[in-house]
Amino acid sequence: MKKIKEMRKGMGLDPHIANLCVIFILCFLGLSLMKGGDFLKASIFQAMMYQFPEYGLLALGVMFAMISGGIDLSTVGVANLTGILSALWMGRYLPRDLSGGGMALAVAAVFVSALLIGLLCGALSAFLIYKINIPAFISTIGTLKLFGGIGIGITGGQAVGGIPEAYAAFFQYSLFGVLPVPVLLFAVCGLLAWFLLNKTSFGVYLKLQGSNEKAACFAGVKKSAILLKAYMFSGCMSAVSGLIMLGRMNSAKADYGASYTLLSILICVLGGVNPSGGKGRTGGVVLAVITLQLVSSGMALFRSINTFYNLIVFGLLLLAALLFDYYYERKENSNAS
Amino acid sequence: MKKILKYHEFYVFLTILLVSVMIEAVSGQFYTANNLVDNIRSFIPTALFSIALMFSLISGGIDLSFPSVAALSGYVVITLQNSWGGEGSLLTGYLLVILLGMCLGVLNGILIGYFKFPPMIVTLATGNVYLGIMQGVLRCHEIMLPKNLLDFGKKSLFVVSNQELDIQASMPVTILLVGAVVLVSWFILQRTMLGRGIFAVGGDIQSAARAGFRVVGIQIFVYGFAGAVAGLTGYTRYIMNLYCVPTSLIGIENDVIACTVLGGVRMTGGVGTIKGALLGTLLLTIVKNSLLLLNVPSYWQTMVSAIFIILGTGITAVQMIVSRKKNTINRLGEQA
Repeated sequence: MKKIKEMRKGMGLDPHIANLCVIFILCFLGLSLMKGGDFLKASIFQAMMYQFPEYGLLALGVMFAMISGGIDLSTVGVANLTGILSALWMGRYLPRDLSGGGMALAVAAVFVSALLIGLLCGALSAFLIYKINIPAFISTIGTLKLFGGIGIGITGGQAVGGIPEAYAAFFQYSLFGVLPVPVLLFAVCGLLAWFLLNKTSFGVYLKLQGSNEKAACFAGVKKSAILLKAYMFSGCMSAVSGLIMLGRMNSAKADYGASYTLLSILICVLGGVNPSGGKGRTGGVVLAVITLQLVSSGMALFRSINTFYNLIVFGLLLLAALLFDYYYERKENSNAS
Repeated sequence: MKKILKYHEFYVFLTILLVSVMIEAVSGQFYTANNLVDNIRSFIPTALFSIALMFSLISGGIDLSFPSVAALSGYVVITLQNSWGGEGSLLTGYLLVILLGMCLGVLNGILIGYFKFPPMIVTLATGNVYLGIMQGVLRCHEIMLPKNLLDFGKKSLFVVSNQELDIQASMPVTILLVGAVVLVSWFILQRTMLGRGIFAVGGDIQSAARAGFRVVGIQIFVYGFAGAVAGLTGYTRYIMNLYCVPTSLIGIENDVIACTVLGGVRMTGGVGTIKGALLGTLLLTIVKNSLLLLNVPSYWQTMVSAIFIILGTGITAVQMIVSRKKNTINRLGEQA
């Protein structure tokens, strides 16, 4: 047992990531053994790859907010609002049958407008937090309801359709026939997040702000700028997620993805992001996204387990992640002393 | 007299007066007896929830699991009572639901107090676990109430009628329950060392520990008590609606947080009064019910409560900044 632990430490792996790998491998093996042919089908993996980018992007956004010492609960609201606004202007201003260059230009325009919406929404949350000093939890719940309310007000609670087919086709296209566009988008955003967090001064300041706000202030970190950037990034991630949801469901509604809020927090905590701020690794979050997708798809294969069991499993996993942190810290401290 | 101006609760009270006068001016139907009684009817469950939430907020944490605790305990006890054939006293039902709620809450308390996990994440997790148990394991569905509960739900203290619109409204008996819970909570918070301990832990855990308060015990009590009150509320709400719809309680935590925060209870802990929480609940209830009175589409209600959350916390937060600046002047003896 000790040798395995030394091996793990020697490999320089973060304990969270190491454990996530173990869970992933166990789940994979378990599912293969229990469900065999039903599980190891290409269609299952295809379906998984279409699902996880939606909440995976939200989790990337929440990760930045959590590392900064706060949290972002408004991601789903931003995603839905982006989807609704994009659907509305696409339906009104874009011709039905676009092709080739026209389609590429249109999609690019949609992306830019969506990112702008995400930036603005994130900026509002950040403003409430750093200027009016409302705790992050309350302010993002407030903005969640605000954006949701705006969405409901615009659509009257109905789903918005009428999107050009080119749009949905774009999101269903698979590179090499294996990697769907959503996964590619998620990979790009994940790389961007990793780069921002580990290779820029912004990333360092973000972690400083999250681990000790007073010290960061004295060290010259501008709280307003850092929080603005962090929540604007989260807003952008949510906006992209909203576009992906729009592409998958071919419509936008104000209350899609309600369960993604808990899921994104769970992913972050499982992925090794410290809820009080300051610590977090993109690799951990990505691995947590994939693992949870595996668990969720796996559970869907068992017909006797209804979807509500997902709530129990995710809740228990969250508590287990916290307990693991607790005992790991205790052992670290006793080893150190 | 000037002292009253300092209190947050005073401004909430003023806002309530202002809003009610405005609505009376527009619709002419606010200060009718039946509207007032209807408002109180919707006020009762939310008020009880806000008292449950208040305890966890004052102690410096938060309890996001209370809707699930309420829904689950109420559902379990009503199913039990149905299987007993609708006999048995109401008191056993209430005792069972309080016990069940307390156990679910104590679990939160242990995770937060002993293991020192962040309260928001813990209660988020347990809330979803309880919800999953109710919907997945117990496969909950709408059920009828047993006869004794139905009778209790229909009882009323008095009935008022509106001559103009020819409608009636009855004041439910459960308002007395609210009075009892308010009394007990007030006594605990303001007249016992336990209550002082809750405020102390909310102010600063380290200082409270050094001052000799048993922080772990206090936190277990706080979440246990919140769970018990939540269970009681869920049960009462099912009874008042004369029907048990387990999923009707999901998602109300945002409104209750809005009410409590509006009433001056600080999210950061250590500050809050019962009358504040009740006034905040009253304000939000009046606004929500009046939106219906004014024929505002119901989907705008989400935005309205969002604005109130932001306003309520914003005003408190700004007050804190202003008072901090004032203190700086006093301490240094200089102009800031």
